[in-house]
Amino acid sequence: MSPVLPSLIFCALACSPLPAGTVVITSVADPQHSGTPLTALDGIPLAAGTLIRVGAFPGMDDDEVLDLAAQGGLAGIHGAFTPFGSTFAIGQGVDGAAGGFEIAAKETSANAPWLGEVVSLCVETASGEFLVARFPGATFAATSDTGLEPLLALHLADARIIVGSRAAANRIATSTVPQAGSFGTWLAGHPGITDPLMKLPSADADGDGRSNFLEYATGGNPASGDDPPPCWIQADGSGGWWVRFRHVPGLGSVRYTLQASANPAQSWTDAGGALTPDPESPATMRLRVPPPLDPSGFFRLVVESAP
Amino acid sequence: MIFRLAALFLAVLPWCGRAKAQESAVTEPRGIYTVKIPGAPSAGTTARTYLGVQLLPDRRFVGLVQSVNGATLRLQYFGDHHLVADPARLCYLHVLTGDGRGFVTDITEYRTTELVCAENLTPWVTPGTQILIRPHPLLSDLLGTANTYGLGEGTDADSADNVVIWDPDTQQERVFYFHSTRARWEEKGIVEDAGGATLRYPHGFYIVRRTPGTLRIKISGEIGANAILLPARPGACVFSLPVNLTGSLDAMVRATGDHAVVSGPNARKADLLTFEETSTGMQRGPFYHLSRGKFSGWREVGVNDSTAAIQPMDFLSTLILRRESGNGRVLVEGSLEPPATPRPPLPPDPEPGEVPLKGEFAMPPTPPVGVSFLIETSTDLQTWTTYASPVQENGKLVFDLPSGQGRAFYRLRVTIF
Repeated sequence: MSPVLPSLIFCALACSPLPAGTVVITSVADPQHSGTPLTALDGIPLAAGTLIRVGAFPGMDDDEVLDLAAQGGLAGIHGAFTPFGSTFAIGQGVDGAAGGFEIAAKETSANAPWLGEVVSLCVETASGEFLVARFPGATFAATSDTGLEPLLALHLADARIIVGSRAAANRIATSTVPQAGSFGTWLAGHPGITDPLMKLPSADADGDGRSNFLEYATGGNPASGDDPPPCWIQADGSGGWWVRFRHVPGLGSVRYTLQASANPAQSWTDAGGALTPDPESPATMRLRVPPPLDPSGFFRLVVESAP
Repeated sequence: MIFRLAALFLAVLPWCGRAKAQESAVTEPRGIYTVKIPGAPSAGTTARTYLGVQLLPDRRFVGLVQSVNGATLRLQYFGDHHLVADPARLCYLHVLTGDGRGFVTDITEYRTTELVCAENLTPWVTPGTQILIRPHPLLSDLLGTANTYGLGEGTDADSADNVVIWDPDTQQERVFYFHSTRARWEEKGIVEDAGGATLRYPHGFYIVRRTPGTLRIKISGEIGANAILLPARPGACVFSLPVNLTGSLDAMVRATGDHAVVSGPNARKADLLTFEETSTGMQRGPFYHLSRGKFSGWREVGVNDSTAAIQPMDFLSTLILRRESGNGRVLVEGSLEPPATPRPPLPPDPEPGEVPLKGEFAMPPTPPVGVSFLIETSTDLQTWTTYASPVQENGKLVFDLPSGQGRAFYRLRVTIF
């Protein structure tokens, strides 16, 4: 130990006041939580300049947060978000690994607007993409005068992604401003649908064979049967194929899974491979099927509301 | 009391042979820490100070086990086992050697030829194992029957300063305070004297101040440096740590093998350890032990390349261990070996107008003629310097402690002319 280190130690200690509460959040994989790197919408893992904040949206539910993001963008999120503790960066706590983080947010204020609120996470890239996640069941507990300071330990994989992009089971990405708000707000934008039964996510208000929820998730119009197909296949010009589907960037709670089958009457499995945004259309995701091709193959898009 | 004083003085005699001159001897060192307890910064706020219990009441027995049967054991070469009891206190058995090293359990019954403990001893103790028996400290031991250090008093817990013991089984706190009109310690909501409340080793406690101004208290006793198996429970546990002069997380807490912390691939899956520094009021951590493929080691959550796990801590730091599920035990090592690099002394930082504190050593009621006493002090148990000439008061040898805060060890040098 160098002679100057002891004084540095005391300096470091003096910078860390006793907190009233701590929230630990990790994105590092474990047997119960897959943990692929967080990426931007273009599929590139988030870099060190990406900021992470822990906090809460006092008095707001998930749909209200999504609506706010869709209407007000990142500025709207900033206005409603009450931060808890410091600001962190991607790579922090994981030795700089791109797309990963493991942080401990500490706060000394005992009485603050986040008490009783759902723990939320905001990730913001230098380019202005962002992600909002909330942890169902995890709330900021009040600190009593005599009780132990609360500490929550959470994994990003247990979060509900409100704003962002989610593909398959575990791929999470930041997003541009959501192109739609919550399902209810989106449907309210189609006043021609008045029958309450036709407003259900599973209903098909326009009779085009696609449910309202599928229309919502793929940028369709629930009141029109003329929407283009949400999923299609095209030759890539070099012996393979592109399987493409439309999505709505920013709907973090919608999970898109491309499935494949050799015989659609039998089982379907995850198509595998890397889903990437179509450079020509940010609202389109694509999967390349390289040669040699099987004699026949079928693909389908599964959209579901992530838990 | 006379018996105990005489016994302590006689304990000096075996040290005579080690002294440079035959006429001089020293007692076993004792720890005396002076600790600052900050007051509430403003009305309606509180200030909290965690305190470990590592300077302990005098041991009642150290020796070997003759036989074990379930929760019952018999001591070697010991007569009536009632003699190790402390009538006023709950005592515990601490295993010092063997596979169960560090195991601590309460003694629930004393019989003529055996002791009965609160837990099955078979996994921890075998014939020949060395054990120690010691009383748990009481609330009044640490803070005085009459509130020696002047913690804020009140007619209820919410208006007074509090002494808080965290119960790991219920995950609730027990709150004590000094009742201003009944002039005694009471537990919140219970109208009876609580001065005899047990601070069960190796658990720690904390003081919550609602009143302003920094107080200074003294913690003294035998130096508890034996390894401890901390009984971890789901949720949070507040633990005292043994005296460890190296005092880093890495050197103290077992990370692999039997009785290790729960390691994990991330902070969500592992035990989380935070250390509350008494001297600074600051918190270190949370830490966890990473085990992911070929990667293994202590990590401080949120800090890349942190060296905090190998940095020394205040001896008196308190460990808060948080575990998601499952009971278990975590071995923590004490050590009286000084660190390779001397630690910087704790800044005394005295408060204006602080109340002087006195250290004391027991002495026989009528010391022999021609005997003189000197107090020696050390911070590493290696280098001793003469500190003071004590004065005799009420059958004790008393001396003034340094101002401010400190972690020091003292011994009595007895010279026979």
